[in-house]
Amino acid sequence: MSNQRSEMLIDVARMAIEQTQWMASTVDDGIQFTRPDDPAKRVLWLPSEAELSQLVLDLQSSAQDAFGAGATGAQLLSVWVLEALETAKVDEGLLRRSGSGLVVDPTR
Amino acid sequence: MKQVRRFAVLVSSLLMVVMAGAGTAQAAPKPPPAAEAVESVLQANEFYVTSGDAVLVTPEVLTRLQKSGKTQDARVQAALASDPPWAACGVYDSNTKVVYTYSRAQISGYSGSTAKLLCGSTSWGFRHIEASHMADWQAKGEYIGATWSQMAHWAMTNTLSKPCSKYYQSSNDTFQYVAPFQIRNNQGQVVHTFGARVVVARVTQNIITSYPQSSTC
Repeated sequence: MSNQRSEMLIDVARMAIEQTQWMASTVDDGIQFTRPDDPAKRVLWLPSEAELSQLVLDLQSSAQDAFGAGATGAQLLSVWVLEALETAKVDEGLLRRSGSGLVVDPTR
Repeated sequence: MKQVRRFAVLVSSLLMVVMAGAGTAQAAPKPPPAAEAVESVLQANEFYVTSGDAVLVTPEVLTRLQKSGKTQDARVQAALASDPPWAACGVYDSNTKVVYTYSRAQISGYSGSTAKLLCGSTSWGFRHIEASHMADWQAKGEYIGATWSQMAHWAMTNTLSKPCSKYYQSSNDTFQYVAPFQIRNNQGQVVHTFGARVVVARVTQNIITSYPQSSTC
């Protein structure tokens, strides 16, 4: 993956799970979230560079309304990532965009 | 060889004892002071929700409780008694319209003791919670016949005022509040537990989101 996409993914993943029980590790095409206390939980986040850039861009103005001037789309995206992980109805899945947030879709 | 086998059996037995112990080590959270009184008026298929000392019941249960005279505890509240005191967010309302202002426990080293729920957009605030977490809150409220908004409002009030975990998250400039909730039956047994998280922006004090989650504290 490109360096820019990789760095943005890692940054957002790190922001999302700070001080939680989730762990993030890089895999070939993106990020894998796991819970060491619950090994069944495994969520993959594999957005393309275009999807990721679009998400951050779409959230930019909302982030400034919500967080204040100077906020970034990545800040709001990190809130969405933890939301999706913590409200997931399945243990294993793929993190994807839904209309008003992100959701974890089952992989099997 | 026999000794080795005996040793292996002994080790595995010990491991099973240790693992069984670990499984039961997680004691149910202490019931609130009003629990005994609430359970005495609950029927077999009825539930109540607790978080710390706060209790949420159906209006019928609260009426029974008041008639019984067993507790005057103001922390026992009824769902469905009224809608949350939220201002409406109509289609034409601005995203900066205040829906409700919550009190929140202060976080050491940072100022502010309120959190504002604004109409926001589908990305944050009330409109985001409504669009993305209505079903999550509804699933919890169903145990006691509460609507999604009553459950969300009660949980947000308790999570922000009596969190088990509150911290500043520098990476995205937010305050994070988490509290544990238990759903109990008329025997006081915990039939379901969940956590609630409320995320507040440090600079604006706006509530970005709130949702019930699998992790407690």
